[in-house]
Amino acid sequence: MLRHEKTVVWAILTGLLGIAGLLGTLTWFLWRESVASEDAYSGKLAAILGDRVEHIMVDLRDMLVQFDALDLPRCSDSHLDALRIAAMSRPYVRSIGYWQANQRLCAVGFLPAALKPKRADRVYDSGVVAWWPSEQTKVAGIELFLMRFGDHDVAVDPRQLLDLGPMQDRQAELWLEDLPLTAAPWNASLPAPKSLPVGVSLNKDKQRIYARYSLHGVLPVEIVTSEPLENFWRRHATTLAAGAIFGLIVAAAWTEAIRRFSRHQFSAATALRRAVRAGDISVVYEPMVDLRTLRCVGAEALARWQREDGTWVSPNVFIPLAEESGVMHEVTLAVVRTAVADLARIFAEAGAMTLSINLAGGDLGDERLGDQLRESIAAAGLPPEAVKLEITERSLIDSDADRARIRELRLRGHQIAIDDFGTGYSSLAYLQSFELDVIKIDKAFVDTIGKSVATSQVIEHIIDMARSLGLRTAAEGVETAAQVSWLGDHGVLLGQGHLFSKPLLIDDFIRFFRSNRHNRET
Amino acid sequence: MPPAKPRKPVVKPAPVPAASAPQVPVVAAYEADKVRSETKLALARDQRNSMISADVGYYLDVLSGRLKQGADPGITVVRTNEGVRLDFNESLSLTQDEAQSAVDDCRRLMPLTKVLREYEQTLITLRATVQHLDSASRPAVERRIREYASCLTNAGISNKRVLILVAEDAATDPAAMHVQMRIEPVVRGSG
Repeated sequence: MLRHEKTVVWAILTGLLGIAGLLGTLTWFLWRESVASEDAYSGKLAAILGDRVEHIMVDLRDMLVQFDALDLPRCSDSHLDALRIAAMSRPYVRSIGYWQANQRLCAVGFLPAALKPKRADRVYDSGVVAWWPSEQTKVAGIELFLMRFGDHDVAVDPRQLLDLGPMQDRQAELWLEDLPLTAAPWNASLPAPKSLPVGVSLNKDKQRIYARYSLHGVLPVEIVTSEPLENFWRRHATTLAAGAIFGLIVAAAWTEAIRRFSRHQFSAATALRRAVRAGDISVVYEPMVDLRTLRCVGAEALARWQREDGTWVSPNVFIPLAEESGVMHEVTLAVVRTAVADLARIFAEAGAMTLSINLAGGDLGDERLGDQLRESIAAAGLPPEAVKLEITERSLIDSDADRARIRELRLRGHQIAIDDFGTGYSSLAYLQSFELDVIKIDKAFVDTIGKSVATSQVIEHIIDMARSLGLRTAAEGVETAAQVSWLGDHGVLLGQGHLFSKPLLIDDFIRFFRSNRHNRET
Repeated sequence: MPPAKPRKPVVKPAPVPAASAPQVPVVAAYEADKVRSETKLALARDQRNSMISADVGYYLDVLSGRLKQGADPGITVVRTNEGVRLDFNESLSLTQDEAQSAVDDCRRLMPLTKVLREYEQTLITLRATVQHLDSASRPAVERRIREYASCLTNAGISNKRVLILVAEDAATDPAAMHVQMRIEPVVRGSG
């Protein structure tokens, strides 16, 4: 898989994973927030209901204890009045009775007959006996809660113990001492507390949300509440909507970030940067020929970029791109490293040979260039004069720093050539201010040789001007023997162009060099 | 757990308090079931002393509640399938010493006797359990358990409702002699 394809897959996967992760995190966060809110809400409700029931239970016990100690003739009017007042002040009380053993002697309330369930659910050490609501305590369809202490008992309608207010969809069941005491609505069917985790839980199958709370005051009370899941969502709609909007914004931001990243990754500049870092910039060599002897005396190193998919990128495209994206220096350094090492392979055999390396605008100011040149040349065991540095006319800046830099390079032994001469607008005086060795005449002027065009005379002026400045000349883009002849006649020493050879890989160049030498010598 | 209170061995027969009611019979262990059945049958003949079977559960639950209400902390009240059992643990002893007189014991039993007088549709068996009984120790034990029975009958509980059973039990702590009270319902029509 190519790097480009890998990047695409990576970007897509990262995008999907990122969005999924973000949305997942957001959903989890919202769920936790909602559950925490629900927990607090249900917990408060359970605490209120539990406290109320516990208070009622304790109150009923205390009431019976007081009746037991009451100093009134049993079943007298005053005794019955006391029972009546107690019943009236407690809306959940259905009856209060006075008993002797298993005979109810008198009572107030709504129970027409004495209720004698077969088995008590609790007989406390205090003497309180209690019967939880069940079939054995059912009267007129209502399962009552009974409590007896001493000779008095009380019957309670448990439906009155839980009041959920206007929450019609909500169900609740209250368990007292591990036994179900009451539910709202009365026929609600809720799971036992022990089957649920403490706090809020979700039953996806039933689409209901459950909450279980335990209170351990005077009596152990457990409350289970339940309601449709949609109520839960509705209650937290604002949070969820805000979360959804936030999620969309984050997802959009993430998508945009991925898009930008992908764009950046897919851009030619990034690919070039990556190629420079990976050492994928290759070098080809265009032979330079002595126009008098036609012997190959050197080569111009030219950078080439072959993309991963095998396509070559034209220097006209990638050199400006490298300059724009700020990697031109790296390209130059890469060419220096490669070309100097390659030259070493043929230099000894050639006797004397010059390698021309193009410098881009700004390379002169890069401290690394001098270091790289020194290191590479030393490693290759070459003399400094074997490396000629070519600077385009247009990249020459009228600055003391550039002048000093050129001077320093020349002092080291390097020749300095002005490349593509004639395409800029350098004046004689301007050129004079730099210490140069060679002027390379641009192909545009070489092409006019032997032709009757308006610029035909320019090349002669360039040659004259170079001569007047004491500079040698070289011609670029030589394609015909007539051009060679004309250039030689006018004192141009070196030439390069397709007439001699197109730019070659190092192995091909070495073959060309040997062949050229062999032909010239024979 | 606190260490068990050391007990003295039986040193002398306990004085029998003056009984105003006829003596409660002491039943031999081997005939205990038979005598209990016959006694309940006899009691069941009188509607005042018996209940219908539908009331048994309620009656015993309420009775156990009342007994728990009145029992002092040293007495364990247990509702069993057959009735209610009271374990007196260290509250009542079969030994006689200066610190524990029969009068004191009767006073301690008073809240319970009051309840048992009200819940009269029951048979009460006072059971003394010792590890080893012989001709020397048996009279003292029987005398002591009779004192407790007298506490009940003197408080108004019919002696027809009370039985005494003195039994040997090898598992009993040699230094301890347990007193239990077993209360069974008298059900009309059963025998």
